Amino acid sequence: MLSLRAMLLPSLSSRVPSSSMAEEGGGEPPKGSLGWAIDENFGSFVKLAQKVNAEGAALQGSGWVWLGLDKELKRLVVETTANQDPLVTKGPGLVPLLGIDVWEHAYYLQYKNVRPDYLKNIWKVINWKYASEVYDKESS
Amino acid sequence: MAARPLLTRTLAIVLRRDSAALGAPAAAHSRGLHTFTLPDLSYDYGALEPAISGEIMELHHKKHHQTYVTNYNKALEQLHDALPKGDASTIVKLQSAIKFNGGGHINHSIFWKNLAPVREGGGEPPKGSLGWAIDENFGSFEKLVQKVNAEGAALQGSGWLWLGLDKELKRLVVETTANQDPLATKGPGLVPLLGIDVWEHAYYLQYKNVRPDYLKNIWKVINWKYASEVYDKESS
Repeated sequence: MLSLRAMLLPSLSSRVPSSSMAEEGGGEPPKGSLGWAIDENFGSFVKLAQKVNAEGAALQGSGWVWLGLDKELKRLVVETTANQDPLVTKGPGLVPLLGIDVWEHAYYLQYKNVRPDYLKNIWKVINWKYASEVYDKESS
Repeated sequence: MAARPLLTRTLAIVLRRDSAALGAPAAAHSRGLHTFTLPDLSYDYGALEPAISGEIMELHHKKHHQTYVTNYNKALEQLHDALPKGDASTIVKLQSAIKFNGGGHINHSIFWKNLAPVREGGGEPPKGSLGWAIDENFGSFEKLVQKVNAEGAALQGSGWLWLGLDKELKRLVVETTANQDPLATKGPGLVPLLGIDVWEHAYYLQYKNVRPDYLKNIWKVINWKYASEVYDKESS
């Protein structure tokens, strides 16, 4: 049973506590239509982050983790690609909203072999404003 | 023969007793499942400096290789459970984890033997039959090194460089494999003599993005004695 608040402001439900947010809004969870879409497609923002982190940790070798918009099926997807393969290699109708580099060079100096720690922390500096702009533009 | 089943039963009891102390992975031993373990290095982590830093060697061995061993054992246990059930879906789903982690264990086990401190002969070019074979197949040792380094710098993503013996065609080859694919995936008759890890974790802390510098320097600690032993054994 959703609370009135949750019904009126769904993008604020189940938010990851934004402890330290970059000055330019990095880490602030998506609001508006992308926030809605994330809740619809994955259940909650937290569940999306968990899914991305699980796929990122499990990726064998070098590659990328993606949150994408499937323009054809009008839904959000979490995908991975190997090496430097762009998201479109997983489907021509896929538009990248968010890409996380999980090549070792993206985190090794700081996180060494512990890729899951890198994934846990990168959410603090994700620019959802940009992802939302792309989503709005591509889903209109 | 009554003696053999008694011996097997006794061994099983001993293994079960010991496995309780060793923890879950060793318990698989008592069910007839082999448990893989991290092999020790025959040199200290810092013994390959300055070619490869002690920091890299320790992380590479204790963390990366150990993780492959752990996950390999886990996948094999799951396979062991799925096989008698005839759970085809699970059996097939496990192949990726087995290939990746098993390959990681195989490749790194070879890698540690391919390296030696300078004071133990690391870097000394191969003599004897392998030295001859290198000259025959590549023209000279320097040309082999150039070829390996070129292939290594050009490898996209994560993978390995190999000097291998093609047992069938009786010749040496330079090959690359992706991720943790063992050399055998490039041909069943290929025997690895020398493997060089070009995953970023193998060099990044020391050489950063400059993989060619790592490749230039690793030759100073290559253990050609081991490669020669394998070559002699496999080409006889």
